[in-house]
Amino acid sequence: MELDLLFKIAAVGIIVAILNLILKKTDHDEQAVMLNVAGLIIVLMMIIPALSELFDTIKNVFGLW
Amino acid sequence: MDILTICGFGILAVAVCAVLRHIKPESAIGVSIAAGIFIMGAAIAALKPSVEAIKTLSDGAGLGEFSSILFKALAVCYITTLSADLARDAGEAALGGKLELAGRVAVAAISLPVFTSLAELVTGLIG
Repeated sequence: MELDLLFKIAAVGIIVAILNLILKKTDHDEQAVMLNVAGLIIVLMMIIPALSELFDTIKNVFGLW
Repeated sequence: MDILTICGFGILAVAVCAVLRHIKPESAIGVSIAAGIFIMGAAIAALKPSVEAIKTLSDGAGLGEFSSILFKALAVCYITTLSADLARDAGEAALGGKLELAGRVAVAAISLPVFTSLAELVTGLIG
């Protein structure tokens, strides 16, 4: 069910946070920033299909457009 | 999906958000967005039979086009509350206010024909 997506997003967040720390310790700070952006994009790529699914359910429940 | 799974899902999402709040705030917002989307999807999917029943009843009672306007406005309200609450939850109160303003404008635009038919009715009575 959708529960695994929730845990996937949490896992991506935690992994990005840990890698961020590692990159900061080995003073590659600019790569840490890029890693943050990449993590955010991955999370958004997971959320967008769920959002379009929600809009489709709203459309066919309320018979719109 | 019955109410038990939805409530369990919500509590679990709150727990995950609480854990993520300190590790990485951005993905905590992502988790709350995803949980909001799923819970609203389940709730609206459960609304389908009652919407069909109200539609058949209102078609019988002869106010056909008003019921479609009603449901369109309801759908707009659902979507705008979802996005406005998510924006406010993420700390963007101003953005939430703008989204609600846009929602009100959309509902007003949708319900324009109702006002015109009301005006015609009134002028018909008076004139």
